[in-house]
Amino acid sequence: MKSIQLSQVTKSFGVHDVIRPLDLEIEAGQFTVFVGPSGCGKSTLLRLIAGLEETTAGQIDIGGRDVTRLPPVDRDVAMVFQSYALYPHMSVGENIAFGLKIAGMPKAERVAKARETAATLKLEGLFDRKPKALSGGQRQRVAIGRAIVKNPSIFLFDEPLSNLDAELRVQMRQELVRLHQEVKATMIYVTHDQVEAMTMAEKIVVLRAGEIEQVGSPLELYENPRNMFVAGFIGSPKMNFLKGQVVACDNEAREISLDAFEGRKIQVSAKRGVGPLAVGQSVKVGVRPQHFQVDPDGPLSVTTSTIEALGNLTYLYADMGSDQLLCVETRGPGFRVGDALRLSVNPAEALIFDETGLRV
Amino acid sequence: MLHTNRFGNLKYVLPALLVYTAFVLLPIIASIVLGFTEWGGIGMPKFVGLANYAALLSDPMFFKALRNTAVLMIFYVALPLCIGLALAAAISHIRPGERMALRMLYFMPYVMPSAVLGIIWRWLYNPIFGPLNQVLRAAGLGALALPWLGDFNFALPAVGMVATWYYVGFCMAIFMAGLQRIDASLFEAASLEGASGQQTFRYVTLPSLLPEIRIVLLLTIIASIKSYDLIFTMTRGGPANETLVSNLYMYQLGFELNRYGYASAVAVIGAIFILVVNGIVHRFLPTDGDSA
Amino acid sequence: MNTRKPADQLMRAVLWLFAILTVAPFALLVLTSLKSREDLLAGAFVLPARPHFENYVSAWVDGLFGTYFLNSVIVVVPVIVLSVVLGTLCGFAFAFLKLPGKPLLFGMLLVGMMVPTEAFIIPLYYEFRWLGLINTYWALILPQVGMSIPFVTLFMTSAMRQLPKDLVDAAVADGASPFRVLRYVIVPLLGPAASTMTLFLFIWTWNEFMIPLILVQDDARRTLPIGMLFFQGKYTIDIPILTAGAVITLLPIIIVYFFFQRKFIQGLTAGAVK
Repeated sequence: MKSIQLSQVTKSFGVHDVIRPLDLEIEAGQFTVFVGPSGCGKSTLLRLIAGLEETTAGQIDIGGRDVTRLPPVDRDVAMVFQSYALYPHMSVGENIAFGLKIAGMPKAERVAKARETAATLKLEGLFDRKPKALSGGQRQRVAIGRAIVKNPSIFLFDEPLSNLDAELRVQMRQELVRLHQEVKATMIYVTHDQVEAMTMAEKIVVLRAGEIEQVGSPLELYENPRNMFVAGFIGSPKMNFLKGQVVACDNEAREISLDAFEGRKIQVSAKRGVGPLAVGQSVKVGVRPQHFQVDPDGPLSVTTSTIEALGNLTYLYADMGSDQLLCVETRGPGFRVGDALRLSVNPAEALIFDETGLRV
Repeated sequence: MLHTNRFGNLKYVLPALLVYTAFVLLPIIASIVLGFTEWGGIGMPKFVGLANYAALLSDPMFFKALRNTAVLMIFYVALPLCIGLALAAAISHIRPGERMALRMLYFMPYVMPSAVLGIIWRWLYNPIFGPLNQVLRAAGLGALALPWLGDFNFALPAVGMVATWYYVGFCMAIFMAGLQRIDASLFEAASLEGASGQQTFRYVTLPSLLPEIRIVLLLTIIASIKSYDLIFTMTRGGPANETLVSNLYMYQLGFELNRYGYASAVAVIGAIFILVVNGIVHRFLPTDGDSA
Repeated sequence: MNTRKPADQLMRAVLWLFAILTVAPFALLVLTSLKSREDLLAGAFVLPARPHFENYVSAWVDGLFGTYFLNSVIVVVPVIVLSVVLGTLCGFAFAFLKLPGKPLLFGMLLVGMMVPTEAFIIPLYYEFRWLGLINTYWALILPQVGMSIPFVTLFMTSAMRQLPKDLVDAAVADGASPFRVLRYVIVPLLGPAASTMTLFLFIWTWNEFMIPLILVQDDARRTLPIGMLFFQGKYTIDIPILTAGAVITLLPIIIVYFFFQRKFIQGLTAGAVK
């Protein structure tokens, strides 16, 4: 169990900056998830920590020791790859024991350790099989076993579940969380799937274009996103963003007229505000689908264009012009395409962003 | 990838580079240097600047060799390309198993040592007891039973036909691979639009095979410039230099007349021709964004 | 596809006819190698009264084809082993390691791929005279390895780059040194590439003409193609024994070709298109 500290870490390939100077602290024993769209640099950041890529500038400390120039093997880390990277010519046992073999452990000892590891992952019966003869879930387990057997202080996971089917993914998610509770190691997990991030992480790091957008617990990010990007990225279905102008604001409430609704006005509580606001300023109001109510007296009138009935929940979609769809979460049946509805917004839950996308 | 010192990594390439440098790269450089000298094989080469190259410009034998190479290109380049293309198109209508068997037969000469093929063909072409003339006489075409390789007019085409025979299967195999690469739905679309077989070939097959055609051109042109083994074993350049090509001229100058400097200049010109052809074809070859 | 149409059947017949004509010289070669010199007079296509296998004994013993065959084998085996080993090491460095002046080294190798042997045979001859290695197996082996190295290196580099990159990363994360990555992870996965290269090197070396022609003048060191050339000079008229020698020269290639023809044709044509 070791902490990780990144100070001004930078990575460029040629003239292309993949990681901008970046600071980050990961506490010992924490389950941290790096999340972001593809190309945001999250995998590169993981590989920098693993030592598979060299930093262009900056310093990486693991457990208080500068490891910036150390090879992976001296960093006390183990990594699970997206493709699993099982050696195709080696059996399950040999795959698990390969790291120990390289470290010079005698054969009897490393086979015993590999067997023990295989047993904890319910792989005993497959010990002598080649990876080709395994199912996706089994391969995934072998890849994890290969990491566990080294007993590292830090586990690094690079989108390890993206090749599994949906059901197996949910199951493996829980197994990984359990694994974290058992081995009590520091874990970093990279994914582009915000559901994985929300369900597994103790701390989420949202990345975009090589920069950290926000760091926090899943609920912190959900409740208090720092900007439109985080607000839109975390939560499903996505938060709705409505363009408008500030009509009035004081310490209690803010009144916004919305462009897509003929200037109809809505009230937003000032309690969730984090910055100054001026009358006449252009803003965007962020409202999650569940924070609309179908309300005959509501100020916003829409016509439903699509309905997704999931049983417990129903999502209504309405055209707002310019290719934008408004998503509203409701309960119960009784909605039909083409219904004209009136909506109101829960003033305590709506968020306001300025023109640069920053929360205000 | 690896945090090892980059000079330490040289140990992986040095053994290979050492052998390569000693027996390929240095001789190439030496050849270029020798081309600027006069050297009989003993003592120090005498530097003569561009004199060898100047002499080449007025050397009728050299021009004879170039002319012969130009004629040989019909047999090394044009015929294999056209016949190979026609065969590949024809063969695509045949069942896969049979197609592979045919391909194997057509390709066979290409894996054989061309020097040995030259010797075999020398026998096949033999005017008295050669099987070719026996066939002609038996077919009542005794008038055509020429002394092929000894005939002033027919020696070069006779040698050339062997090259055609050698390269046809290779060209065909490249075009067959090219045809497989083409999306089958293109042909289906063409037939839905009512294109005839010839129209399909002209407007779909041919343009799609452009990369293969360029490769075949590159390889066969280079082969015609390099031609040596076959001709050496069939005619040694005769009769009366009717089949002389530049590499054969280089051999005669060097190893028979001991004019090593002049011979090197001939070799360098040949290598320059090849580099130029390479450059031209690569310049006009569509790059498919493949990382090289 | 519909092959029942008469036009298609005609095309098929023509294709087979040309295919048979293409390999007819080889069939004729085998036929003639089994004839006596008297049989020859009866015509090239007439079957002999009985097969004269003694032609092969004559070629092998008196024609020295036994010696030439042995020489070819003695040259081919080390050329394949050395080229594959050196080319794999070199290809590994080009594929995965940092090297000083990598583009320059790469360009150096490309030169050797484009310049034909004929262009540097004169200096090569004098180099081997200076080394005192004319008429030795070294003269046949070393230049052949040198000429093969660019091909093998480039082929191996691209084969290694096609392996999943994660495998190499995983081995590095497992603590393997570069050499161990190569030894335990890459080499076991290079089987197909190495076997393709082995085939090519076999055929290139077996068929090589210029190097043994110039660098070896001693009959006891000649390889099969050169041996055949000089045999022809010695006994121009003994066609049955000459053709028996030709069969001895070509047979190993024909056997290998029949067994691996798919790999051969695909390798040679795909390699060409790259």
